[in-house]
Amino acid sequence: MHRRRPACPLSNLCSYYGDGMTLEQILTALHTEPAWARHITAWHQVPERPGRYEPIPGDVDGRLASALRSAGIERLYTHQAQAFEIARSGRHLVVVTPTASGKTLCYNLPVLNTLLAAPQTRALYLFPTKALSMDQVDELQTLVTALEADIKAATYDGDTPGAARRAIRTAGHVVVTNPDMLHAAILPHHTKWLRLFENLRYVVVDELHTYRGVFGSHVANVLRRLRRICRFYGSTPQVIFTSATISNPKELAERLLEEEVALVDDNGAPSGPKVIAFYNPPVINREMGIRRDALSEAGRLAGEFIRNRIPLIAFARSRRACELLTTRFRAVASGHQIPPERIAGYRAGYLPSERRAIEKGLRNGNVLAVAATNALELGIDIGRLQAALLVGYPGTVASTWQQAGRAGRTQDLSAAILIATSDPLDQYIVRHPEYFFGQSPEAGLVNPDNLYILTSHVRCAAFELPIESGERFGPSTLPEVLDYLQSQRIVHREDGRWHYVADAYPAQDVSLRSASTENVVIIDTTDPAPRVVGEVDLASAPGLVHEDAIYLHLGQQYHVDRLEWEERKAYVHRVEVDYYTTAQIAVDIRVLAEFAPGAADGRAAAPGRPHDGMVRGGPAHGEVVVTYRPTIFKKLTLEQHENVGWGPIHLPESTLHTTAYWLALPELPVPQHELQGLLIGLSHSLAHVAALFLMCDPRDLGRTYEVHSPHTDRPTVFLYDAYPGGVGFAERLYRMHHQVLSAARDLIAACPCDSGCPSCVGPVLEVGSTGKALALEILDARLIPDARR
Amino acid sequence: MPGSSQTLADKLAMLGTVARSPAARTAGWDGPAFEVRRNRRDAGEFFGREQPHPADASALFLDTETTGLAGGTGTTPFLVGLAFVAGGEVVTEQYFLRRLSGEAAMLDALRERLAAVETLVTFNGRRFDWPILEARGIINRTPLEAPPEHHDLIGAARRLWHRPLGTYRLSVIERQALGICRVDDVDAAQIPGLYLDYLRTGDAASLEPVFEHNRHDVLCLLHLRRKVRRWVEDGVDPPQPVDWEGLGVLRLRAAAAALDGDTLGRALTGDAENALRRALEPEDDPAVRWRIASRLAPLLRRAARWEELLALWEHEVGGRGIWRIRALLETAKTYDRRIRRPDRALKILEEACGLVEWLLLRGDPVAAELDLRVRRRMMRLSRRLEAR
Repeated sequence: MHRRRPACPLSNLCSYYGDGMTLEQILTALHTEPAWARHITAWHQVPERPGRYEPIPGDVDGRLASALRSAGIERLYTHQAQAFEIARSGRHLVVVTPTASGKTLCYNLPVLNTLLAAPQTRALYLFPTKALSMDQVDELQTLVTALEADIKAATYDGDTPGAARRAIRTAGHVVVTNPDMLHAAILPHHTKWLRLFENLRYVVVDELHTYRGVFGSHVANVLRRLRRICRFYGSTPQVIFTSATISNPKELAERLLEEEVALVDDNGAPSGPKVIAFYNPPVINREMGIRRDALSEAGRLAGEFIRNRIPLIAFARSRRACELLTTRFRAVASGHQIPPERIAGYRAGYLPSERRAIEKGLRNGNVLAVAATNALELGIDIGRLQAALLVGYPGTVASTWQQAGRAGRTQDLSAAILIATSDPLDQYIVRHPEYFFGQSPEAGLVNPDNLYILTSHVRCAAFELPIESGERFGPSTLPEVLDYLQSQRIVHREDGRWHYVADAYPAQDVSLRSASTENVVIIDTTDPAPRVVGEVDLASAPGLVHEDAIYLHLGQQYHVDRLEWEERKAYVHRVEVDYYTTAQIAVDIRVLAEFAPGAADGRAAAPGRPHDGMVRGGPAHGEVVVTYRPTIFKKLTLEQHENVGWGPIHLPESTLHTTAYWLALPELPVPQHELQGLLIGLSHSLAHVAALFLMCDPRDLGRTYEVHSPHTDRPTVFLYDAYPGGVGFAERLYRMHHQVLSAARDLIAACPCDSGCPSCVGPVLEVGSTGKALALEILDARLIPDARR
Repeated sequence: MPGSSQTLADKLAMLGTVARSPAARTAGWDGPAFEVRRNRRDAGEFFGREQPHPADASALFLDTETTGLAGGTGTTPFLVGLAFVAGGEVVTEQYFLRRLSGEAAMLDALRERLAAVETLVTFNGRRFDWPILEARGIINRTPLEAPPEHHDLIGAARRLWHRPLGTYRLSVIERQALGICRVDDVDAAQIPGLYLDYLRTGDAASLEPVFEHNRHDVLCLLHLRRKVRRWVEDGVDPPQPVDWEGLGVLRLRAAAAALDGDTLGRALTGDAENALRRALEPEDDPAVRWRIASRLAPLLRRAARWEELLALWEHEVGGRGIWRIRALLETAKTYDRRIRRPDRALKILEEACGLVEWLLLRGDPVAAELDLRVRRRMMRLSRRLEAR
C-alpha cells in the first residue's frame, strides 16, 4: 500500500521560507522532509578543501610568468607545479584531475615555456573530439596573445581549409588534432610534416580515460606508429597525458605508451563544500519492479532549484530525454515568472554557434538552467554552477564525477544529485553507494595487441616506412603478422626489410572507433534526397537493422524498410511509434582454447579440452567462436516493455572469434526449465555488473549460457568480448571473478521486486518464478564460497 | 597473443581469405639493385627536319610507374622514365628497381639528373609523380630538389581536350591529337600487380610491356610539349577536335608571360583572339558564349577597338534571359563610355529594365541582382543627362 504523496513535498517548507530559499535550505529540506528523504539512498558530504599553492617556478620564462599574472594567475596549484617539474625533468607524465581544476595549464605551461626558449620546437595535441580541439585552441590562443610571442597554434582536422593546411604543416608550433586525423591524414603523409616530426618535443594526450576498449587499443597502435615516425626523424617527444579519475591512469598511460609514465594525482585546486546525493524514485509496481519515471522526478526536483534561481545543469542520457527535460524546465520557469530564454538545451546536433551562445550564457549567468547530454561533459568551459542533476547513472564512476563536477565552486556550497532509472546499473549504484564512494574500481582497459587491430596498424606502419626485421612494434608476434601480410600481397620482404607494395591506402580501411572494418550504412529515405544517418558494425547489424526493426539514432526512431545484406545497406524512414524492437538471436558458443589458470600471459591449454589438473566447474577464460543466428524480433512498448507483436528475421548467421569468461555451475537437482531461468538470470545480472567493473557499455559485452556445455560438461554462463579478438575484458573478469559474483549477489539481494525484474535478473517472464531465488541461492551457497577458496 | 604458431596462422587466416602464394623468394639474383636502361635516337630521326626547341635542351621529361596509385608515403616508384635531348640525340633513360633496396641509389642518380636541368616536364607530375618522388627522397634520406621550373602538361591538356574529348588522359590525347597509336599496350591498372609478381618470381619477362609503356609515355611527353608549343606559341592551328577557347586562354597566358611585350606579345594576343573567335562562333551554350565574350572584350578594350567591342556585345544581345540582359548592360556601357552616346545607352537600359521585370516575375534567382545593376546604371546615366 502506498501513502498518497503530496503534490509538492516541499510546499510546507516553501511557504515557510518563501520563494527565496538558498541552496543550503533546499538541501536541508530534501534531507529531512520524509517525502523526499525516504528515497534518498546516499547523502555524501564532501568537505570544503582549501587550495594548495606554490609560487610560479623560477625557471618559467619571464614573459610567460607575467602573461599568467596579467590573467590573474599569481601562483600555481600544487599539481600544476608538480606537473611542470616532472615535464622539465623530461619524463612522461599523466595528470589526473577533476573537472575545472586548471588541467590545461599542466601541459600548456611546459609546452609554452619550451617554445619560448626554442622557437623551432613543435607540440602535437590530441583530443578525442573536434569540439574539444576548438575549445583548447581558443584557450591556448588567449594565452599566446598575452605573450606577444610568435607562437602559432592551430587545429588540423577535417574542417581545416586546404590553404591553411599547408601553412599549419610547415609553420604550426602547436598542432591540435584528434587521433583519427593523425591516423588517416598525418602519419601516412609524414614527409609533408617534416618540420613537425623533426622538432616534435611534446605530445599532449588529453582525456586519456576515453581511450579505452577498442578505441583505446587502436589509439595505442597509432601512438606506436607516431613514435616510430619520430624515431625516423630523430625526435623523441615527451608525452603528457591528462585524465579524469579512473583507478589505473598510470597503467593505462603506460599501456598506451609502452614506457614508464609518472603520475600526478594530488589535486591542489580548492573546492567548496559539496553534497552528493543518490535518489531512487519510489517503486510504483512491486511485482514488475517498476519505479516512477526518472525524467518526471528530475522535473520536480529541478523545479525546486529553478524557482529559487539556483543555477542548475541536468544531464540526460539521450538526446530525446534532454529535449524532454528542457520542455519541463521551461514549464517550471514560466510558472515562476522566469523567461523561457533562461532555460537551454545542449546536445549533439546543435550548431557550433548555438552551443557557443549557450556556453557564454552559462558563464555570465544569463542562462539559469541547462539540460544537456554528455556533449557538455568533456572539458568545455561553462563556468561553474551550483547544482547538477544526473538523470540516470552516466555509466561509469569517472563520468559521474565529471558530470557532478560541473556543479561546484571554489568556495560556495554546491550539490549533485543522481536520480536512478530502473536499469540494473543504476539500481546497483544507488543501493550500494559505498561502491561508488569507495576506491574507484573502474579501470581503463586496452588490448593494443588484439590481432585484428594490430594487423591493421602493421599495414599502416609498413605503408609509412619499411619495417626492419627485428624492429619492435608491439608484441613478439610481429614476424607472423608480416608473413600473413606477405601472403596477402600487402608487403614484400627483401634483405630483412618489409616494404609496403599493395596498391591501396591502408588507413582508409581502418576506423579507430571499431574493430571490424565492415559496416552497414543506414540510409534515411524519408526525404526525396536520401541521407546517410549512421552506420552499425556488421556484427551488430542483424540485431539492430533487420527488416521492420525500429532503429534509434540520436533520439530519432527509424523504421527499417529493407536491409540489403550483400550491399551492406539498410534503408529506413523516420517514424514516431510507441514501441521498440528487440531481436532474438540464437547464440551458439564454442570454446577453442582455455587459458591456463594463473598464467599471466594467458597461455593456452590444448584447444577444446580442459588442461591437466583442471577442476571441472568454476570460472575460466579462453578463446571462443560465437555464432549468431537471428530468429525473430519482438515489439515492446516504450513505457511498460509489453510485448505487442513479433516477426521473423531472415538473415545469414555470422560468427565472431573472440575471448570469453565463463562460469560452470555445479550440477543442480532442479528441473530443466528452472535451470534455464537460473542461467538467464545469472547471465543478466553478471553482464550488467561486469560492465560496471570493466568501465564499458553493457553492449560491449555479449552473454549467453548453455544448459549443458560440451566444454565444461556443466551448466555454464558465458560473458564474451563483443569485438573480434577481444580487448581484454574476459581476462579481467576472470581475475575479478570474486568481486563480480559478490556484486551480482548484492544487486539481486537488494532488489525489492518479487521474482525478477529488468533491474536485477531480468523480467519474470524470462527467468520464471524461481529464477531470482535460485540465482541468489546458488550464489550464496556455492559460487561465492567457491570463489573465496 | 596466446597460442602456438599453428593457431596463430589459423587466426590470421580468419582475418581474410589467404591466397596461398608460392613461397616468396627473397631476391637472390646478382647484380645491382637498380639498373639503368639507356636508349638513344638521333634527334633528326625523332623530330624530322625541325631542330629541337632550345628550351627543351635544358629540360628533363619524367614519368614514373609505381606500386600503387593511392599516393602517400607507401607508394614506391619502381620505374622512373626520363627523356632529354643531348648532343643531337634524344636519350631515354629508365631507372628500374630490380630490388626494392635499390631505391636510395636510384634516387641519388635521379638527383644528379635533376640538378643538371632547368625545367622538369611531366604529365600530372605536380599532383602525382613529384610528391611521390619527394616523399621517397625523404624516406630514403636522399632528399630531391626540384628544378627551378616544373611544367605540368596536364593543365594544357585539360584546356585543349577536356570539353571536346570528354577526357584528357594521355593515352586518348596521343591518339586523337598526336596521331600516335600504341599496340599491345599494358593496362595501367595491371602494372602494380605485374611488378609485385616480378619481385616474387624474379622473372622480368612479363615486365617488358611495362618498360615499353613507360618509354612510350615519356617520349610522348616530348612530342606533346613540342606540339603544344607550336599551337600555343607559334599560332599553328591544332588538329580537330580541340577546345578553341582553351587554346585562346593558353595563348593569352603565353602573351602575358612574353617578355617581349611589343612584337611577340602582340602576335600571341592576335593568335589568342583568333582562337577565341573560332570558339565563339559555333557555340550554343549561352553561359559559355558569355564566358568567351568576356575573355575577348578586354583584348578589344586594350586595343581601343570600340566598334568591334560594340559589335561583340550587340551580337550577344541575340541571347535569351539573363544572358540577353547582361549583353544589353555591356552594350549600354560601351555606348556610354566608349562611343559617347549616352542617349543610346539609356534606351538600351530601358529595354533591359523591361526584360528584368519579366525575370523577376518568374522568380529567377539572379534577376534581383541584375535588376539592381540595371537600375543603378540608369539612375546615374539619367542624372548625368539631366545635368547637361
